[in-house]
Amino acid sequence: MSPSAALQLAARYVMRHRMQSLLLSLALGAALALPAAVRVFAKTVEREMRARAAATPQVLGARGSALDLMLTALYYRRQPVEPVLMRQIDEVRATGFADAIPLHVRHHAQEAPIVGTELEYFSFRRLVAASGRLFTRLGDCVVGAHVARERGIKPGDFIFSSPEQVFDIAGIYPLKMRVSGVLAESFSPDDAAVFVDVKTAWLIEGRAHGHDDLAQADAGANVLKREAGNVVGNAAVRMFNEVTEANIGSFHFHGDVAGYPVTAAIVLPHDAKSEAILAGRYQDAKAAAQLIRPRDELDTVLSTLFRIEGAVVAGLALLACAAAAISFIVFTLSFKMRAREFATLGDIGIPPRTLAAIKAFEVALIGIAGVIVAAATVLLVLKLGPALVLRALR
Amino acid sequence: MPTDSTGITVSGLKFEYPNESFAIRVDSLVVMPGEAVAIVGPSGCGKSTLLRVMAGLLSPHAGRVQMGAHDVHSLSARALREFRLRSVGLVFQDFALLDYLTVEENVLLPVRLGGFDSESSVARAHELIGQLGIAVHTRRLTREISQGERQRVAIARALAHQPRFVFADEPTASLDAVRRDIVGSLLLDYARRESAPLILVTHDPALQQRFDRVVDFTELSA
Repeated sequence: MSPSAALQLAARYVMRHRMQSLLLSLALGAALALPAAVRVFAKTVEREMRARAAATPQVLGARGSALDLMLTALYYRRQPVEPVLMRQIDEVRATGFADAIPLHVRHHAQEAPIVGTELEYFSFRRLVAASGRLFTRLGDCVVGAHVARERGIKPGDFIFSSPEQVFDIAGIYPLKMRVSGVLAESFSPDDAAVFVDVKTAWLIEGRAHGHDDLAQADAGANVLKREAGNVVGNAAVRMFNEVTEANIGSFHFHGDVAGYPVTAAIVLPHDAKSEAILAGRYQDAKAAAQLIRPRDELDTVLSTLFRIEGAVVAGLALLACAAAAISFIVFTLSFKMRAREFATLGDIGIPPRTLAAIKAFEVALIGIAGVIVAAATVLLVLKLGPALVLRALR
Repeated sequence: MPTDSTGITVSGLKFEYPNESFAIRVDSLVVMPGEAVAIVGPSGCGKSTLLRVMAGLLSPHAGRVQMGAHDVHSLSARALREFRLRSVGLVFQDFALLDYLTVEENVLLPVRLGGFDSESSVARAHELIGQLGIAVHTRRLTREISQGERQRVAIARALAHQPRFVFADEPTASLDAVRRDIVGSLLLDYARRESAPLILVTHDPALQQRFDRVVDFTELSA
């Protein structure tokens, strides 16, 4: 018997029936890869989500779903979260136990969430400008690396906030924002966001505005009436939808900023004791706000997720077994259909062990190809998994 | 090269298929070394079965087939396979080629799987392919060539390892007159040159005339 000749003959059969062999290998490979790929993907999701949650000690938000609050504050998901007031954030700061960074996550520029915050957010998340600089005045924005790449945005360009209601003419008008900088890629949801100062977020929301100065002597055409030091403008008064060096002085806020809403605040306790004390203060179910630990909330979510994942992997493992059984049947039928061929080889005098070797080599070649397909799929998931996860989290 | 090439002796042979009334019986048949014997007879009378019994592919219920120094049916299964692989050339009625192999690969199949291929066996295979007029198809798959060409590939495969005994079942059935003469000459020349007994089943009168002896199967089993 010549094993190399048997291998050569098996290889010839596989190669000359390449479509069937390829399909069988792909089916085997996919069935083998699926459980592993799902597991790898789930682990990647867990790692990425845990990393951001672990880096965020506490989040302050309105009472309600802690999960929604976490998803909004950490991943900028559009969840139905009630706002808290700036006053409540100031109260946290006033305790002396922690710093607090406000987050205003309500508006968006096309699909990218507009995150209103303060400059401390960038140092907290270790975000730096890859080009340009961080925002320095009202109306500026800094875009995440992914947004900049997708839309070809660079410092000096402009982007518009999207209206909340296209058909609501009394609603919020888009604000033309100047891009002051582009952030370096951080492989986090920050890459897909547009950052503005929290005051700019309020400007988009309509809590501040800028318009023609009616106190000017030549503003007569825009004045409807003047009474007791109060000037009422008419419909000709121009409202500014862009903050410029020339008109920035005309922008002003109405009411007390302490009563303005934000979505949440990232709370950064000075130490573990401060963290515990703060957590205790918000335990009261009657309190207007809640203080959550994102990692605890994530543990709850992931424990449910991984119970489901376990069932999915078990199901896929069964599928792999079924695929292996089907492959066995396919090979058995194939060898049965080729009985005449093997009988001829036997008639010529080829020993049964050589015939068995030919069959074994054919199965092995297809099996090896299937394992290669499976390995390539898993490697692909390992390579692309984080990007897919980030895209899903954006 | 065959070293102990002698004749074939069949004596008292009886064979019947299980659960079938069909049976063959051969009292005596002797084929000398280098002798070419054509077996003729009506279709379905058992010529091909006799050929398969003589070649050791079927076991008789009684009798002996002596090929050279070997009593074929007293050999162990392993020894019989080895004997067939090295010493017997078989041309099957349906060619029995592997259609996913090229002409060259089919011709060299027994020597390669048997593990006794060499430069000379490869050279001999190419020589046979040339003599049979199919050199132009050497690297083509056998499913891509005509019936007649496939038949010639089957003949080349049977002779590539220089067998000491040659059995052929209707080897010229698919060939035109010119090709039939070429194939006939090739088999007869081989038998004479190598002193190999050649037993051939055929219905072709023109081919029969070129053989040393024509045996009527019906008389053989009478």
